Amino acid sequence: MDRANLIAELKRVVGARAVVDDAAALMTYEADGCVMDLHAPTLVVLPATTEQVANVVQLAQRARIPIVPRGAGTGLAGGATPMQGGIVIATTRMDQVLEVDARNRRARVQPGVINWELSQYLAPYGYQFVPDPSSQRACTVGGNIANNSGGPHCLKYGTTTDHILALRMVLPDGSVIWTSDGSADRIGYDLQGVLTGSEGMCGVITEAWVRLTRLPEAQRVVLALFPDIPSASQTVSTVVARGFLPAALEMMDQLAIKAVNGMYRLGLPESAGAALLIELDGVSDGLDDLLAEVTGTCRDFGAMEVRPAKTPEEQAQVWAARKNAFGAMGRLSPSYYLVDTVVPRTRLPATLARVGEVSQEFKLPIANVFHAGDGNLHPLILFDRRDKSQLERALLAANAVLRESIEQGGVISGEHGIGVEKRDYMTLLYSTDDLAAMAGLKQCFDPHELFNPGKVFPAGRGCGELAALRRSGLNAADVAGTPAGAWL
Amino acid sequence: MTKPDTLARALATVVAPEYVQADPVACAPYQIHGIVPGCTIAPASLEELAAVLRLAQEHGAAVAPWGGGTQQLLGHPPARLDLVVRTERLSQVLEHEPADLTISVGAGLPIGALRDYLAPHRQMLPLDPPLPARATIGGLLATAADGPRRLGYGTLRELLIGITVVEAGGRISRGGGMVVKNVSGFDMMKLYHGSFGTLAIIAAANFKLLPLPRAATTLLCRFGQPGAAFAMLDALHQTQLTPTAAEYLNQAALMELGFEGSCALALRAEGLPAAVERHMTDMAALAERHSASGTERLNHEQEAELWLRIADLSQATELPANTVLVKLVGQPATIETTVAQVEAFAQTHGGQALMSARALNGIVYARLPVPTQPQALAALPGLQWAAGTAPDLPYWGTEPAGFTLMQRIKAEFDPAGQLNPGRFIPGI
Ligand SMILES: Cc1cc2nc3c(=O)[nH]c(=O)nc-3n(C[C@H](O)[C@H](O)[C@H](O)COP(=O)(O)OP(=O)(O)OC[C@H]3O[C@@H](n4cnc5c(N)ncnc54)[C@H](O)[C@@H]3O)c2cc1C
Repeated sequence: MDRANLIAELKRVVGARAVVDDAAALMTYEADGCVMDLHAPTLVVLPATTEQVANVVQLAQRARIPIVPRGAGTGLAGGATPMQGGIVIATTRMDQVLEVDARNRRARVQPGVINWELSQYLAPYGYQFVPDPSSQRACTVGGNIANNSGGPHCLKYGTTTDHILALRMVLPDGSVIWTSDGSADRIGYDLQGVLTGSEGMCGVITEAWVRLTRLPEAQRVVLALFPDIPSASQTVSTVVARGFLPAALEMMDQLAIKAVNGMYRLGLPESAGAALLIELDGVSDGLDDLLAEVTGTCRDFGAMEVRPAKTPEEQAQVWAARKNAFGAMGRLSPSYYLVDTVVPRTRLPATLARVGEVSQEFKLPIANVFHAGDGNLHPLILFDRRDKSQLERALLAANAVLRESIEQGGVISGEHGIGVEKRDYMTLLYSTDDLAAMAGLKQCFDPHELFNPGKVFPAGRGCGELAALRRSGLNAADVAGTPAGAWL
Repeated sequence: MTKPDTLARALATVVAPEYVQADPVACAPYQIHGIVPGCTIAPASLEELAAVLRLAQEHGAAVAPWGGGTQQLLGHPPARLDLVVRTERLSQVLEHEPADLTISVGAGLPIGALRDYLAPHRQMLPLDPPLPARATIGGLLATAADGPRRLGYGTLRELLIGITVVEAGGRISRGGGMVVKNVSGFDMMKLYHGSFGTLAIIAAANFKLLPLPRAATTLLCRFGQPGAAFAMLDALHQTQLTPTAAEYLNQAALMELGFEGSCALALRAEGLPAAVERHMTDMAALAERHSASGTERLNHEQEAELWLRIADLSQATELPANTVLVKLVGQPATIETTVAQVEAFAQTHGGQALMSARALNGIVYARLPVPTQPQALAALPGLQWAAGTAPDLPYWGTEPAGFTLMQRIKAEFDPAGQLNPGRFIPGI
């Protein structure tokens, strides 16, 4: 099918105004929040219904054109970047909360609903959709599901996957399924479980039943300032190990404190080496005693200052500072590279020490703002994109951080996903057989590999090749001369 | 059909011969729905397990994985059964860093043994399934088992952070890791959880742990009518209280537990002592408002014992003769109707239902007399499975949504159909 025909056909399906074909407008869709690799899509469509999505997918399937689903494009791993061009299906117009069933603690939503707007919508009912990525004012629920996103409160309440009850999907062959009726423990393979976090590679999510969680009766937020990162990290380990079960446990280092201080006038002493933001929640009974224990623990590990946020306004201000910390980096540097990794919690001090060395080695400042309670690091490598040497050093520094995380027994992504950004690191973490099992699973959904090609699987040996290797019955050991990590 | 002797001889080259049995008497305890395997084997390591599955493939042998044998009544009788692979020797704690609150264990470890191992560390894997002394981690994962405390803690689905499996043909693969948050690639843990041993044999699993709660208390509220109990549950669901279990027990269940009365709610709260107290006060007041006929707060020993026994009500191993255990699911708000339908169904079939319902999770377990036409059970609302020794049960409920995809997944992971053939949903 030539381009003109394709455009005409798509316009018939979604309406003339819902097809973007203008070269300048297409540039918006060249990448997501990870701007390392830019590729323009052939076309973008903005369907409004599941049927429209299905028709677009059928059309693309017949023409063998790649498809890339897209929410708000806030992803940080290149998940929504159309590596081989093709059609981007953006969910912008599918933004309705369709049903709130508070009695059964669930809601049915379209994928383009903005995470924050869903929470705002639910609050009057006394409920929340727990996943709260820092990008929540922009990112979509569909993107959250596709990336199995996290957020500060996922420490206590679990990441997106724990809050998804059923998905309606347009599969790569254009058929439409509900993975379940949304009740617990449906027999059969856990389709919504494997689809959550599948990074847009297995179809388009067009509706979801999400779990609602009752808002807690009471919350306590405390900000504790520490002389250095090791004392703050030890506090984190202890708070977790003693069973205080905080709802959130976030850390900022000195550079990050400096950045948010300027923006939010928190008046934090910039001599502090690290700040911990700790939130406790539950029924009000006993919560103040627990708060006292937590603040006591902070002091035991050398906290210079412990500031409880007393009013809801104060709490909101502290949280705003944390959630907008990335934005505040703009005050320090023109660009940053956010590296998302996880290590076992006891390895935080060692890993962060190494991050400090990496900063020295590559002569780039690195700030840390992260989900400490989960061991989920977010070193922000500050650099100037226009300076080629700085860009190169930023990439090398990220590489060093990822390798260190693996060395410490950790993994290469806690919440942002693999996308293109980290696909070549997958071999450092997994064996060929591990990857081949994932590739086999992906191919059950998308045998022709039209959905979001070029993601997650290493560039040198993509999904198709891995799956074929597996089907041929060969083991990694049988493939002479390809040691793990050989493709990096 | 593979010749047991040939297979056993081959297997004895990869696993110490005393752990390979082809003698029908020795194999008899591993029968599934009366079908005795030709061989059984208990590999001692991941590598041995892989070697066993490689040989099984070479010999075209049909394999059934076996943990504690507590859930082998689930599913159809096997279409073929040549080899039972027992995980009992894969029962080590492989890695435990207490301060990280993570653990890696062999699939053959009984959850009760894991509980005992963790107790001195004051940590827990908060799943309370039936028969903990026998039920193994691998079996619990494969069957997506649950327990009453799932209301507060979820199931192993939420706690599983890493997995090692051996696929049909002996390929070893891993997913996840030893960290509590991870999106590095596809979530393979979800694939194997609830796959009933049809995709791979689980060899080891990693979990996140929780510290033991500082306090835990249980309130047993008796009601004259199920309607009052469910009205209370509905009211409780709307509060900001966070009970960790809320189990509805019908008359037969209460009797089995040694209590009188027509129905009851067992409500548990765990956490800070003051928060637990608050739960007890508020829940007792709620019960009173919903005309509970009695509210009893259990002491520590009583409550621990009671929950073990409540969990065992849904065991599918030693079912009384001519009874069947069914699992029904729905939404919390529909469980009251489900429970009424089950009572009526049992009466129609000349017996009594013994029910425990995780009502706020939308789950009912019911032990029922086997109807003259066992397929009549299929009419029960939200039937997921029916387990028992009677023939011709509707072993699995209706075909699940997305079934074609499930068939594709099965074909991809076990193309020769060697793992638990014929036992899962027809067509898988
Ligand atoms: C400042 C900032 C802060 C952030 N903070 C966090 C954080 O705290 N935690 C966190 O986890 N992430 C965070 N992120 C990353 C990002 O916001 C999340 O991954 C988010 O969930 C992506 O949502 P989106 O709508 O922007 O999706 P997109 O970026 O548009 O897409 C993400 C992926 O999902 C796929 N996808 C999108 N919609 C669908 C659909 N309907 N069906 C199938 N596949 C689909 C895409 O193909 C792509 O692979 C942050 C990003 C920024 C820029």
